[in-house]
Amino acid sequence: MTEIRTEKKIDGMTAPKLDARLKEVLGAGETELTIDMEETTYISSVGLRAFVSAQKKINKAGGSMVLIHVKPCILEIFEVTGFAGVLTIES
Amino acid sequence: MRSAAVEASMEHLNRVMSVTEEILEQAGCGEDDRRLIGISVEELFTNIASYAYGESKGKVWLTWDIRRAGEDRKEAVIRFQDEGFPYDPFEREDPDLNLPVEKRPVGGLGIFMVKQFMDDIGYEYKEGRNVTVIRKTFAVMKDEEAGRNV
Repeated sequence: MTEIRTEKKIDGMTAPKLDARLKEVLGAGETELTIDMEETTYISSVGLRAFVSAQKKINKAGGSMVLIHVKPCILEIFEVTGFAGVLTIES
Repeated sequence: MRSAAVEASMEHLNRVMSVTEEILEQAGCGEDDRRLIGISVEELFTNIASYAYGESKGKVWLTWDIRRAGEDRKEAVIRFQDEGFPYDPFEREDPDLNLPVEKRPVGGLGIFMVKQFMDDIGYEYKEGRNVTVIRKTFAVMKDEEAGRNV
């Protein structure tokens, strides 16, 4: 199991780093991911895409990715974009 | 009203975001509305920086306007102009949010959020420029509330 903590803002500046980290971990064969979003209060579409791309790989591998400590303001964005239904989210 | 002209490149996203944040904070806009307006500005700027000029370089002209919108309310009107290929970002069909993750298209999400989060969106092609405008009203926070939200 690998845990990744996300930054305060997952935006055009920071999302490429998160995306690279997810790819690195999944590329190394990890299939059980926990994403701690305690710090995060902002996410734009580039961040959502990083998660969806990771979720696709995880599904293929039969693993799991759980987003924990998700703040209500971030949950709202997952809901508006329909991501609440495809990601595993624990607030 | 404040305005800026920046190169349409992702290197300048940070600056555009901090100016937006600063203007909204000074206007008494609370954290929740700042987040939604911020996301919308990021999505539109990113679109222009990524696609408007193709492989060549160009500029984005931005204006931020804060207006009174009644007692304890204001509205933010943010305008983007570029001289890139004529393109209406809001014409694009909304993504199908019911598709399973494997079939989710990766594009279109950003503009979809702009449409959901703003009160009003507008686009026109005028005098060789794409002119994209977003508008959102917000409750003006009292100092102590704004402080608590920072």
